[in-house]
Amino acid sequence: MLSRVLGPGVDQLSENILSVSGLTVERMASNPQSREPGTRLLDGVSLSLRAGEVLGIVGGSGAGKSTLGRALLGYARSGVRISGGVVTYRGRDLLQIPEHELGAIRGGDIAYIAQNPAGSFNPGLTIGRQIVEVLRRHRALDSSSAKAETAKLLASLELPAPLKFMKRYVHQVSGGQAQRALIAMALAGGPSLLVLDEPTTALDPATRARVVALITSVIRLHGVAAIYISHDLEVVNAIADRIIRLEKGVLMSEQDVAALMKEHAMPRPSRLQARVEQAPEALLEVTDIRTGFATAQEVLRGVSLTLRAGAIVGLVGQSGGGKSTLARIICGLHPDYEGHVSLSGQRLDPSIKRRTAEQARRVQMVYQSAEMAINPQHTVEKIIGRVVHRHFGLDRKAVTAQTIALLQKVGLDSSFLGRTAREMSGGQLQRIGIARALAARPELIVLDEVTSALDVQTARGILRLLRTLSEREGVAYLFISHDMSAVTELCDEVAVLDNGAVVAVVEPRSVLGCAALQEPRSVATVA
Amino acid sequence: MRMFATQSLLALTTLWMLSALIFLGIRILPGDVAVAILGQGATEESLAALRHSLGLDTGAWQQYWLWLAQLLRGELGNSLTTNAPIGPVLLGRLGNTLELALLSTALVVPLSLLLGVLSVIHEGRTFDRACNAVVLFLLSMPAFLVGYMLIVSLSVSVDLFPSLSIVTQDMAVGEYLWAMTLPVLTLTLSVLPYIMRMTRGALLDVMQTPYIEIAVLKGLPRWHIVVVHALPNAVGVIIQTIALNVAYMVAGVVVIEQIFVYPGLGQYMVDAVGKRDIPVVQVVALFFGATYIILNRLADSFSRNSNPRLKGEA
Amino acid sequence: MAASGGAAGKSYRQVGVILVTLVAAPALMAPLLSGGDMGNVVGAPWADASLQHPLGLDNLGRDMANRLMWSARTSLCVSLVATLLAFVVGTSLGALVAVRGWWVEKVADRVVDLLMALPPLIFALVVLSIAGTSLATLVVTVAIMSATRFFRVSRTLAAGVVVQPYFEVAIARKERLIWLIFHEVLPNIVKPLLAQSGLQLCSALLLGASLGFLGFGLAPPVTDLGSVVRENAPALGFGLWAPLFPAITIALFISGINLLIDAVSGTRSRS
Repeated sequence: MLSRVLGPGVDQLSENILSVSGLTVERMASNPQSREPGTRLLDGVSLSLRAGEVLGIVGGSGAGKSTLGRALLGYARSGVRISGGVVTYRGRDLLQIPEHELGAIRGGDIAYIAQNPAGSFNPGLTIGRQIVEVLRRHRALDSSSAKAETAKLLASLELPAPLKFMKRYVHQVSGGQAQRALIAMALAGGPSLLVLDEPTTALDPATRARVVALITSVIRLHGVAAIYISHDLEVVNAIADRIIRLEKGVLMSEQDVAALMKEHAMPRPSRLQARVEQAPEALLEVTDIRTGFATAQEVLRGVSLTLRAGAIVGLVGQSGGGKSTLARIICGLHPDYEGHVSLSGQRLDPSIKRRTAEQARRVQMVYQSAEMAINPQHTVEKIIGRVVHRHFGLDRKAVTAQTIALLQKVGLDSSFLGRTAREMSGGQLQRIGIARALAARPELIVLDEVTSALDVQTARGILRLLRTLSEREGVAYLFISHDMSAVTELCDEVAVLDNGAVVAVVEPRSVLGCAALQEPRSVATVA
Repeated sequence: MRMFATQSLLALTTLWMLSALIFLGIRILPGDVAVAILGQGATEESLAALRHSLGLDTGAWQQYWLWLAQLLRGELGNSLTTNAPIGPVLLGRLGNTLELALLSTALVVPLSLLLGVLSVIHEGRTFDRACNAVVLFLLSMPAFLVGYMLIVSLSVSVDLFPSLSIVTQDMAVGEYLWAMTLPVLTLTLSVLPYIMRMTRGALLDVMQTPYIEIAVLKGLPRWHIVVVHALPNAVGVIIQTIALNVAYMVAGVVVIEQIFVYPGLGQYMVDAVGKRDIPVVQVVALFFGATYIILNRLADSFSRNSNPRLKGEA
Repeated sequence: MAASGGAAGKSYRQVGVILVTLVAAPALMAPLLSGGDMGNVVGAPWADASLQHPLGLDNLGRDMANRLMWSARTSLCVSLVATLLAFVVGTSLGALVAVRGWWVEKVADRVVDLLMALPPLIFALVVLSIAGTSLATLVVTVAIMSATRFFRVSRTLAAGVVVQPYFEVAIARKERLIWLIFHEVLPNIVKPLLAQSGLQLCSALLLGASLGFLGFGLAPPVTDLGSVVRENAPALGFGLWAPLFPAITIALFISGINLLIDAVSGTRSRS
């Protein structure tokens, strides 16, 4: 196993291939889109890397990890600039050398691997072409040698029929193949340093493990140094020799990293035992839901589920397995299905348009992306107040009073009334989404991956809030998530959706060891 | 192939409906056309005769189908003012206008593409800023301003080119081009800013995509990124713009021909409108419409065709 | 062309405002400034500029500057009214169609397609050849042409809003059509629509000017900028600049509007 020494660069006997000192990156001018009050994305960051070493960089979303990764190649996105510091690669400061020399190093000595392989390839050019151009730029090969070398590279990454593969476009190959091609393209320039920016974040757990293994073997085989950026501590743990942590553009100290590691390794606090009062009759009954997309393949094949009043039921399963579809069906937003949904024994119309106002009120949904579920032009007062007004027809003063009360319930205050979406962070937006759902005084709230778009700390906050609210308000939740730890923390029981049906309803702790979720589902790939 | 058929069908339907609109418009719109043409003091007989020749006295649809059938046979009717067949005159004028449009297109397309690409390669620097300023001015100048300024500078003050572009069949090529220079230049300058701006905008849009950022991080030189990576992905938009602007030229020629007294289809139309020569107006309008519709459909299909994802398996 | 918040954007805005005001102010205040004089002959045709007549005289010996003011007034008013009309009709129809299709969508599509099948100038010429050149005809024709563009743009923009999750949330709340259009859709499409309005205003102005230039402007004593160009065109043969004055006036106004549009909706280039 790779040895671990916590903390930022300690000079060792072997030479540093990369040495960063006092790196500062700021946003240029005043950008109305910026959420953070400050304009510094990175502030005085220093690190060092030895040849062949793997350095992990972790941190929450918005901490500046990607900005740092790009800055290591002397690159800043438009509207952002590197305002200070030194990035020394093999003795030369990348921030001072002229543009064309920088161009020789980028892609050649230092290669960048981005998160999304599909987004890294030009959809209008063949994959082969894009690898060939790296070879021609950095290894000065002529056209035919470059093509031959490309085929060799692709073959070395276990891609089938490289010559044919080269002629494909990125949308014609699977995600896993694109990933391998991306790595091939990065290796084409013969780099000594790889910067990997969240290479496995968008993947489901099964594929993730495979890709991490691939990256590890590539690093070991080619003996390159690597910087591995991710917000996933577990993955970084497995692959890196050392780990540093970024928080809002600043490097955390050694002690904090150690504490973080310990906290992460601790077993999750077990879910409080089942509630004392459990209403016996069912609030929501879902019976034998069957639906298929246009591909005539049934996504849901007979889903049945029962929810009791005030209960918190989790729903887990493979991504793309139909969890969100089920959520939308319950809320009347996906009327194309067979089967029934009943609320307190009353059959609900498949389409929300034909449900009564009362039925619509009793079931509310909170979306994964709070930002997209909120009208960017509306103030918080309008967002929440409208719901109150719509369902309860109160006068202006009463509505405002109610709105403030709701804000307080979700941990915000009346200063938020006049704000619009642009002026709030991801966590705050999600709280608004929850407040909006609560405003209707529903009996059931469907929470569709509500913490998936948030960083770990913010997500924790939201989970705590949800738990508190459930106890206080007595609302039932259907909590959909692919985050097992969140599910374990929050839910009374967990329904497992596999192959289009609910195969089990289990105690939360069991999902951590649930066989159905460990095995990778076969979607024909080489990934 | 199927797409081509659907597009053609759509185009034909629109064209057909347009012909109906043009023909029947005379009935829909307010005002007594016969009186307007002949004047208040006209006799009842002459009014009746005019109405008859305009086909206003018989059933609208009947007349329309007759007219349409005639058109399709190639009989374009007779002019009210000259009583001569419209056909030959129209063809001659059409030829002239087409030459004007083609010469202008041949000049404007490479020029605007070049300027667009160069300004993106040098984005933010002097060349780009200068181009933007020039383009902004050109955009705001009505065609007659451009035309008259060219005349003032190249014809009146310096006598390089003629200010009247009266072209005839038997002109020598050199003389022909010399007479055509100013109108072609005017039309080119009218359209250049649009294509150049669109090219620049489309390229800059593509330059914002993630894969371009990756290309930068691969250390590729900027000109290579703009021409090899960005341009092919912007081609659809660019070609669409070109087609749309050629379509725009269809109307643009009208004013240009007026400025330079160029014997084209636009002049023909304007004269006819002035004399309220309805049959001519209808036929010429239909021609313009057909050209316009076809060009717009072409623009549509080009933008579809250049995207490999939309094309299907490459 | 300019970042909306940057220094370049600000100067674009300033210059734009100056240009627009330069043309619009005298135009709208013409009755005051000219003291009711709509064009009396004061000298020989195309006489040179003098202190009294800073732009010289026109083809009939009238003060050119005065002519410009009055004709600009006409041109601007016609364009403004036509654009406003087009905005109201086109935008509401477009938003309506995007939110609730119904049969309205199919009909509107066909009609708009038909109206857009001819270049606006040609369409206007056909209409004028039949209905004659009156103020009403002009305004309505120009308005109809603009309305089609507004329809298309607002429909596309509204369609972009309709697929957003927050729109679905409003539907789940069983909001009615009026609310959906005016509170969910419109606030989100206003900004790009403003840019479109600016463009349409310029198109309307150009269309009117072109028609005037071709000889189909309004009857005297009312006149528009295009007609003034036409009347003074022969001056070029004498090496005089008379027709350029009204033409440049149009160009100045349109430049101003374009600069404003760029400054407000800006940022294509990242300088």
